[in-house]
Amino acid sequence: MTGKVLQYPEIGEILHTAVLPPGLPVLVNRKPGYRETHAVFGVKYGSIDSTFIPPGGKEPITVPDGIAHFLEHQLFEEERGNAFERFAKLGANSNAFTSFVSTNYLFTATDHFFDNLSILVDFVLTPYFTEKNVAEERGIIEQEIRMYEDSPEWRVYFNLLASLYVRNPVRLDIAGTVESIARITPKLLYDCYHAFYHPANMVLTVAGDVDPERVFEHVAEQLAQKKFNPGGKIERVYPEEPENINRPYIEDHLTISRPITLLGFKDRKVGLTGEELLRRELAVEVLLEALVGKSSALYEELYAENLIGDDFSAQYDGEESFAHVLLGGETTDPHRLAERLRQEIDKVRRTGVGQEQFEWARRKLFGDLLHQLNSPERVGNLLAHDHYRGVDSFARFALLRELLPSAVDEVLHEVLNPEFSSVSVIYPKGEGA
Amino acid sequence: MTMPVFVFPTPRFKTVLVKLFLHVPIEHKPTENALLPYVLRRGTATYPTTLALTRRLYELYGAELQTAVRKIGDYQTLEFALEFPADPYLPKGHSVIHDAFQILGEILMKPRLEGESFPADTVSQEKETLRKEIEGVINDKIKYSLERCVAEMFKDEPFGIFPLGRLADLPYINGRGLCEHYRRTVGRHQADLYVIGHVREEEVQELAREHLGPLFAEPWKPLFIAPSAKSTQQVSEVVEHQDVNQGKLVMGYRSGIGYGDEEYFAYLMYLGLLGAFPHSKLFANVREKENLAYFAYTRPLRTKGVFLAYAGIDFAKYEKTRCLIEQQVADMAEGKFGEELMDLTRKAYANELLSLADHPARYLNSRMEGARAGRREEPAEIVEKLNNVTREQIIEVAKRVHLDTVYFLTGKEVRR
Repeated sequence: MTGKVLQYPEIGEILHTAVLPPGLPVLVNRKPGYRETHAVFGVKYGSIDSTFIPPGGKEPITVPDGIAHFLEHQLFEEERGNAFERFAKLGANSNAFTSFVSTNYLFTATDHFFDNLSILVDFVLTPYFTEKNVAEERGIIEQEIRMYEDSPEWRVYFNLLASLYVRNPVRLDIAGTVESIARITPKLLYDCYHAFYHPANMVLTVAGDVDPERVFEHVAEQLAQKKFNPGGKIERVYPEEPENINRPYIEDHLTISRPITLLGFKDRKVGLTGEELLRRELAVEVLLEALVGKSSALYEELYAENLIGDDFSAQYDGEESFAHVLLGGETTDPHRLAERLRQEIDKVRRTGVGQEQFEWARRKLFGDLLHQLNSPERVGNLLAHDHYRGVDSFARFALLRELLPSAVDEVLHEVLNPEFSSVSVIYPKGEGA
Repeated sequence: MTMPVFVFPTPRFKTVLVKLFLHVPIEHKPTENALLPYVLRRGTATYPTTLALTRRLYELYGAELQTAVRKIGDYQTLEFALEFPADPYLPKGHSVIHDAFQILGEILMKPRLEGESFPADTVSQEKETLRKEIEGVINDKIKYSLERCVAEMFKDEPFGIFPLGRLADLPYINGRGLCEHYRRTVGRHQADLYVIGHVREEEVQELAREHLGPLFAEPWKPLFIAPSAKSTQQVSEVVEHQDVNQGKLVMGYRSGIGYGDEEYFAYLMYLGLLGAFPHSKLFANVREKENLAYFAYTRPLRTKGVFLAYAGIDFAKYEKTRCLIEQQVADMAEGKFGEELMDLTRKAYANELLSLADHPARYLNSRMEGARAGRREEPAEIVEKLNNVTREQIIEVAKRVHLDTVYFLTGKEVRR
């Protein structure tokens, strides 16, 4: 089995890739000397994919919200027992998570890697849904939904997304609602499973001290013993999202000790993938550090005024069908903080990000990205997430080196536009605007 | 005299991690102790504002400074960690390590002062940050309950003091007093330096001597000494009422077994069987079988020969859960655990311990703690010793375990 070998000498990394019949991309990042190996087996099917034309189909079908996440839970239940138990018997730590755009099943092991890999590939490709086990899982997911409802970080975030987006499904809770999951049946689960869980729509990533060729052979053999439907193009249908935001402000109340605020900017340039998306992401990340990161004058001022604390952060979430900037944290005065952030953005839109500021921010980002490479878990997850977006993960370093202040000023104007921004606040019960 | 500077050269990581640990006895001025790292990270003589210091660190290709305060034994361990890219990943000819050590030295020994006082606004801002940290624990009901149980069990002992100090002390702390405290503290107590990454041992030793030497003035001594074999005559029961949605039950058990004891590895196996993992008896019975809780685990306090068994439950399930937990503990003393459970436990520990070396910060923390407690085994050796523990040894340990304190955080106006 031979695949491609990509070298990144600047950062001392090598990526081995292959595509295994019937179409599964496999990426292996060898990390010599590590005891831990991390593997992620994921599918490009997330919470936003509730309307689609399955392979070979003609008409779009719409399913209740929360199926991708439901499947994430359900797949662990097997005809005899539970996949978690199988991993535990081999001393591996397993987990899974669902995002807006993908569902990922993973494990970390210090021993029996190939046996654990077999379990991973096997349980994800063996659906088993019955009325009984679906009903049981529904109860657990209901508890999970309620638990998140009480979480201030979750609430401030989803309230913001619902304010930034008018129709894009990113505004909906990943797990769905208690009402929507009540409508999920085994048949619906099977329909969605068969539409999306085809190797050509999936990816396997591995990071650790393993022989890439052996991984390719091992998985190829396993896949050869399974029967797959013919697969084909899945047409995802997303509602048309207008450029404008839904509403500029939203407020909520929970039992917390201090207000939390999140400010969001909708990036109207969507549809990007691959290098174009990566360049934009890097430019925005440098921008955010320069503007409101710890190396910015504004950060020190806001901290001194007790408007922000150590938890203040900013990030860019860029996918093919949506992208936005989020910034915020706990604050004593949400409106004043939002005001100060807007003022600073206004000012920098006029002056541009200075050369010095740019360089500090760029080096900081470099340090952060380099640090991430230390962890097989972070690398494995990064490779998967980037794969769905067509991004070459390790190309970041070369692109960051090539980045110019002008690119940063450009995204500043395009993305940090106050007309397309929203503020979300959670107040302690009893307090208000 | 060799300094307690421990270097782990390895090409595996892209970054170098330098961790300085100061061990300060907790009983005297714990709040001032906790505040020191927060204030010291805010500026030095050469870089007098946090902004200047941060920018200088970012110039060093994104070097990152992190501070923390933890309680280990009767000490508050003040941590100062500096992480930066290793030489092979920097532009040719560039190296960060010398500058990094120089800055770390300044942070510890040349802070920004105004005369013999820390700047007033820095102190007031960091008091606020510390306040938020302490309140954060109070708001996290699981963490809060665990701390309360410890405070009860060690009521008149240093270990009963909360690691971040006391909210009530904050109003009395000012820049001058804190500076006096700083002078009496840094360089006057035990310190460790641990470094891991793409480095040369001799170079690190030299840099440590040059920039951090005065911190290691005190002769080395072990710190986390064996726990007292304090026995309890009566179980102490503490109930607290707060406006909460879920009850938190914490049961404090004494084993009398600590790091230095022969039975230490049998004790670890015991904890692994009882409640350290999702396959353990507590999780399996309290959650999976009886559905009483979403989580049920043990937490060891290894320097004190004590462990906590805890679960989040409905208020009305107090009696049932307490009985169930006590049953699991009693079952352990009667040897009611099988080979399969022992096997899962060995594997879970092996996975955890062998993974340590792949995580720079966790690895350094565990090596430091072990060394100061008088244990110098590498993770792989620990795994071997755990694998050699017998049923009988575990049962012997189990017989030494007895309940000391039961703490229950429950809702308002409720009968249990």
